[in-house]
Formats: sequence, C-alpha cells, structure tokens
Amino acid sequence: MSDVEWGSLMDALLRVESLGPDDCGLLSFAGSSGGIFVERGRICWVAARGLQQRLSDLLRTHSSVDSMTLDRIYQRCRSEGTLLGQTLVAEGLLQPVELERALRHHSAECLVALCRASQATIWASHPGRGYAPRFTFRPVDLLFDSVALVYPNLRFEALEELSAYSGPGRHAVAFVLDAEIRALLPLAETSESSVESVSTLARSLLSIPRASHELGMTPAFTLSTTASGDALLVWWRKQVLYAMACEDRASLIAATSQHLACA
Amino acid sequence: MNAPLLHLGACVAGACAAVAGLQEAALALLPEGLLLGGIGEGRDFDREPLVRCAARSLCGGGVTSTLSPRLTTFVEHLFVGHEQLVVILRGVRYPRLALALSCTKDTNPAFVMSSSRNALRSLEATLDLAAWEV
Repeated sequence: MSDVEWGSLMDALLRVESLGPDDCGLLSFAGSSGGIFVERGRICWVAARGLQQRLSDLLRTHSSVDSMTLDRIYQRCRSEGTLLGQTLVAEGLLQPVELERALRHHSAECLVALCRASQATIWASHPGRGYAPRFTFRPVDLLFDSVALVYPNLRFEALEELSAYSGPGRHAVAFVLDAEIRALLPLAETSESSVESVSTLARSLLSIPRASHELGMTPAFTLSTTASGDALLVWWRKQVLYAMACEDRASLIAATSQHLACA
Repeated sequence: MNAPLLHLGACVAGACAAVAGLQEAALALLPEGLLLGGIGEGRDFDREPLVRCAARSLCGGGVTSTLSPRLTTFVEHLFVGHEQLVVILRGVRYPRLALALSCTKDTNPAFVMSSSRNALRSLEATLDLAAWEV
C-alpha cells in the first residue's frame, strides 16, 4: 500500500511518452511544486520542491567526490551554465553508470513526491540544454523505478523470478497488486515496453485474479489466449503477478512445462 | 437438428463426454453470466462459481499481451490449480456463449483443452439459442 496517486503519475508519464522525438521542455505540476524535464522526447530529470539537496547526496553516495569538491564544481557549473552530472563524468569524478543510477533514483523520488496528490500538468516547450542521450531515460523506466521505490523488496524478488523464466523470444512483465486501489502496478520487465502498453496490460490482467477468486482457488498458473492468437502465461508469487508471452510455440510449451512441473 | 432448451444439460453432458477427468461443466451466456445448462455434482446453483469465473475472465474489457499492443479480447483460459484444471472457452460461432468446465488435476492439459474446444464446437453446431437472442 502507498499514498501515491498512481493514476496521476501514469498520466504524467503518458503525456511525456506522447511527445515527439525532438520535443524539449518542462511538464510542470500545478502549483509549481516541480516537474519533469524532457530532452528530445526523453526524460533528463525530475525536480520537486524540497528534494534539490537529495541529488547532491545521491551523487556523493555514488561517487568518491567529497563535499567541498562537489560544491566547487556545482558553483562553476552554475556560473558557466553547464550540467553538473555530465561535468563530474567528464572530469572523471563519477562513472557514467553511477550518474545514470543517481539521476534515475532521484527522478523517481521526485516523481513519487510530486504525485502524492492528484495534480494537473502543464507542458511548456523550451530549448534543450544538451543532455547526452545516455543520461536521459524513457518514461517507462521511470514508471518501473517509481513503483520499485515504494516496493523495493518486491522489485528484487520480481527480477529474480523473471530471470528464472527469461529466454530468447520471451517477454515478461511483473506487476504488484496494490490492494488499496485494486490495481496492478508494473514492477519489472524483460521486454521493451511503454507506459501505455504496460498500463493497458495491467488493466487486462486484472480479470484473471478476479476470475480465480470466483473459483475460490489460487492457480499455480493460468494460460490465457487472446482473439489475436497470443498466449499469455500468468502466475503469482506472493503479491506479484507475472505475465509472459512467447514469440514461438516451442518456447511457450517449454515455459508451460516449467510451470507444470512445479504445479 | 436443434436441441430443445429444456435439454441443455443433457446436450452439455453429451458434448463433454470425451473430456477426460471431467468434474463439472457449465454453458453460460455472456456478459450476464447466465447459466444455460450444466452437469456435475449437486444442483445448477453449484455451477455458479464456474459461470462467474467465465464472465469475469472473458468480459474484462480490451486486453493486450506483452507481444502485441493491439487491443483484443481473451477467448480461452486454462487455470491450473493444485487440485483441478479449469477451462474457460468463449464461443467461436457465438461469442456470447461460454463453456466452463473443471477436470481432475491428473489429466493432460493439452488433451483437456482440445477436447473442450471440440465440445464447444459441437454445442455451437447443435444448439438452437435463438430464444436467448444469441
């Protein structure tokens, strides 16, 4: 359970996802409490009032740079109008992967903070600031990171479970059931999805636990087929629901056999 | 030949005779979840969980899969429980029709699925559901 307005959070990310590949600007939340900065259709970071210091803390945690050096570089970047994170990477004080991790973590924390209440969003275009594509991320990445912030242990378990069933041509998503809002929230994936596709899939899959509830049983797994011929393997572990589709029949049979052996 | 509605239970029994390990079966109308006929231990009322399961799982709105983002619908479900298998099928000829059945756990799921599809095909070919506006 959480006090996050997941509907608002997804709406904001869907809005970013609908932008064009060249769009740059800010999706601000009503009340000017913060917003999502977008560079060429991808998120470069999220800011929320009261969490500015948190990024510095994360950068210090993820690197060997001391507070004095960080402050000095911060002041220099501010006067030159350059980007702090990328400057730290360029000067060898931070590994690129550490910057990525810090930016994504901070952005997820800010987005969750911005979505504690339902808020309207306003889009304003402005010129890009030159963020390297490497240090920007997809809206769906931020969605998974935000849910993982609220359910950190479940994310770890979900990734372990997904790795046990991963393989070529297999696409899986793990969802946590938020009992309060009775919705499935995307937690981890082994496919290249989007906010729109995972949110639609989450709504589709809700019918399966509801149907199982009518039978008074918790199935070991469910194999469901759609009118377009796709088969979805669905199973539960604690409060996490996993859904996997396979590109070929042999892979589906192998995955089903794996589940049958445990059923 | 069209079967009289009063004998729907017998029709379901005949169509599902080849389903191995069959415990109970229900033919239902969607989306209402109206039981048309069923077989198994107890009374018709005991088929309600199967019927509600069919209505829930086949009428949950548009669905997608991790492979295709195109909105579609579920047409089949196989629930593998620790004690039984439950099959839910949507009618091919009559999409408002659903066949739901349960079998013992020791039966082969692939055989259960194929024989259940045959049973529904047979029911769709023989039943006259005009009175139900199907």
